[in-house]
Amino acid sequence: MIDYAQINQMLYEGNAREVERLVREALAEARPVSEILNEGLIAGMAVVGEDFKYNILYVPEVLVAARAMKAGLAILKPLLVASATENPPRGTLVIGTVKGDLHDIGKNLVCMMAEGAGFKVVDLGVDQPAERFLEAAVEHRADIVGMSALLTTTMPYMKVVIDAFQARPELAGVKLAVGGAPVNRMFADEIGADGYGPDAPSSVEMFLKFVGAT
Amino acid sequence: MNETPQIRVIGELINNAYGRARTAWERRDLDGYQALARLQADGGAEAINVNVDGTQRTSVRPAEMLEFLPRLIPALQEATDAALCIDNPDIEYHRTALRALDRSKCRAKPILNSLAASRHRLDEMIALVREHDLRCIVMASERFLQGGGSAQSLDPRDSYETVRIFVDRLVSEAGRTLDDIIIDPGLAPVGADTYGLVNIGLDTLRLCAADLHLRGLHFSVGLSNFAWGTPKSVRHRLERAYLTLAGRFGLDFALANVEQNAAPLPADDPIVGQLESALLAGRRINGESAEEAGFRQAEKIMDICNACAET
Repeated sequence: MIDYAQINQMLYEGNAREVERLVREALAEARPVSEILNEGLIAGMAVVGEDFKYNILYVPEVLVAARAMKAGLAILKPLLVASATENPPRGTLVIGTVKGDLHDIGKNLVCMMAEGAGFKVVDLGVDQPAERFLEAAVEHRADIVGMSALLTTTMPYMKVVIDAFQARPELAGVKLAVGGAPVNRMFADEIGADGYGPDAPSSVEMFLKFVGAT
Repeated sequence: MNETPQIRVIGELINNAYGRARTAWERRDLDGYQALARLQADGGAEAINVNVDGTQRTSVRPAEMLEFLPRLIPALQEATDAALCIDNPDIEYHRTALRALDRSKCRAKPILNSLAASRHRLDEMIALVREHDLRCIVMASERFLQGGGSAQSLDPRDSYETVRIFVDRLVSEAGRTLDDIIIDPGLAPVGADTYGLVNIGLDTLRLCAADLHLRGLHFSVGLSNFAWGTPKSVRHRLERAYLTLAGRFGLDFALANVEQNAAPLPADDPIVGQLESALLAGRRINGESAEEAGFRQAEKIMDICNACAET
């Protein structure tokens, strides 16, 4: 019998091989794909996020855990795609660093953790204009659009993106979230963002609230 | 090779990421700023970085910065004759700071921090360097795109090309000597380096060091970025180990905290070799993605952190 706590532990320790092996074992036992995803990988990554938030785990450890999560996810992905109607992702996140800004380490952490929380993540990369955020939100039917900026000179561009979304009534349901070193809640409120993520784990908690998963 | 290189420090404490600077900013406390400047000059900083930008904890509007600089710059000059290093991507910040600056009170040229391919009004910034006879920091980590625009450099050859372009322009258009130019080859958090940026920066240093036409250029990195997200017990040793490695290829400046002893570690300190092998592990092999290599690098950094925690 597969023990999901063991998958969680191997993921926490960043042991990609063991995660892979256990995920295969669970599949061999004919456990539902969504169950393996939720109880094995997502639950494991949630503990990683929690411990990262409280400085029990550090950044390199989070990356190594994310690698293990991805290894398990790579096995499940084809099966998840095949059964997408029964096992929809928790939501779709379109995310990018705004125009003029080339920083993305924080954003990449958010991507890894959001993926680990069961979201479909569309990473646009860096230096993205408002039009790209709009196009991708439409194309991928985004539930959430995340914007990152690391410079005070590029931060105001987040408002440009938000204004562009607000000018499109059909996208009114899309939640707009912002983050990045110089960004804070006051600024997020001022520019009309739906949310602000001070760090990667908190951002994912916010995303989960947005899609009604917590 | 085993000689420990010397690093000249640009003191970074005037930055709202530091609590003391944030307190000084919130109160617009010139005495507080002067104390920070003195502390760094006395601690051996060759230049004092001046960054009053916003952070997660403090919202700062551009207008607030521009309003405060005319009082801040003279106050800092009263406290120290060390060069001021004016740090902002926006030209108006530099213009305002330079207007308030009294050149007769500087023992060395002020530094414009920084020029980069992505800067708006780059031509005007270069003109400002000429007009005020400044040193400047140039980001090699961005490249110019053909047909305009810019992008992150993910290849040391592109970073090196950026260096060549800027050096040409600064020499011919701004009357600079190579001694006036400080190249920042780029540095990323070594434990979350899924593009291999740390190695790209080191390779950029190597390429520049091998170019005889670039002899005399200076090189600097923003050091606190390097060990971001690692435990406190190991952070500064990692930073100092990086200085030892990068110093071999000509790094001679660092934007750093003088209080944390921004001096390279001796080459035979075990952590230097450990970092070197972590970075070697972070190099891509057999067509794998940069992310896969970055994960391997993170794993090695994790091992260094754990070993430090145990001793």
